[in-house]
Amino acid sequence: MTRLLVFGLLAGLLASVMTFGVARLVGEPALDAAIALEVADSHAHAADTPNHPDAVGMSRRLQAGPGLFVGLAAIGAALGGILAISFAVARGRFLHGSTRATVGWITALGFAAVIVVPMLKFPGNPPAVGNSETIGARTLAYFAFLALSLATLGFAVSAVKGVPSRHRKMLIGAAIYAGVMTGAAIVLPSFHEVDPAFPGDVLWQFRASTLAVQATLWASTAIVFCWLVGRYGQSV
Amino acid sequence: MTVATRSAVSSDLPAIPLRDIAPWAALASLLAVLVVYFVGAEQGAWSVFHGTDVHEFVHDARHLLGFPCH
Repeated sequence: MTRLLVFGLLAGLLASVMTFGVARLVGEPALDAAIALEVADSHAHAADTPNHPDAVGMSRRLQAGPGLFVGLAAIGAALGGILAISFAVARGRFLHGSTRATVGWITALGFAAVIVVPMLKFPGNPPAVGNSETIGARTLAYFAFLALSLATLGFAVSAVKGVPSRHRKMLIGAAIYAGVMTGAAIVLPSFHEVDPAFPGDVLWQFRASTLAVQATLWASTAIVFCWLVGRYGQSV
Repeated sequence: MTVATRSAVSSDLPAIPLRDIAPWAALASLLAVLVVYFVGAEQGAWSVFHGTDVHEFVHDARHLLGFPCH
């Protein structure tokens, strides 16, 4: 068990190095473009936003270098640890295939429930987008939706455990998950805060880059974890 | 020979008892929640520490991971 956890943490840390590269190449240009717009905007209305955190504050070099790396590494290590725990719980209980298949299922279901579905309802905003008065409500709604998504995934997986056919298992599980989450997405508030003047191109580039960053983090954590378990962990 | 081939398939290993996993799972979940909070939300919607230094330091990571930032 401790060995699996070490593999998970190592995998997450290594993955965050790769993710740092993708975030620099794909994400930072979008962030910089949005910050340039924000700065231009705050010069135009200096009186409205005297203390906006992005216009002043820390240097961009610190944020885009060590700050970005530390944030990604911390999330990567946490993801790797949770992957290792989920692997230990699922193997031989919910999933009975090879290491690769087990890790593949956990990662695919986790990525869908933790990243893709919450992103569809509450996509990330670049600097200059988002009303600072609703940050509390938005953050709360986002984490509530995320928690519900994980709980529903857990419920759906346990509910189909006894179903004999693999095909029906997937269909019933997917139906439970999709039903609950669609209902929640309708009930929870939506926030329409993108200024019509904000360029859609920058917004799309930014949101696509958040998906790329998360996909890189999850996929490389899974691949490195599989490799470590296959290479050094035949008996764990 | 069969033994060697079969050991590569994880389902042939005994499942790790839940009793052994539980403390690690509790610890890992707790730490993961803390990490997600500090990278994803501290000094945005809520603040444990005064100021904006934590927010500013992890600013780019928070944005690019898709958390609600500000």
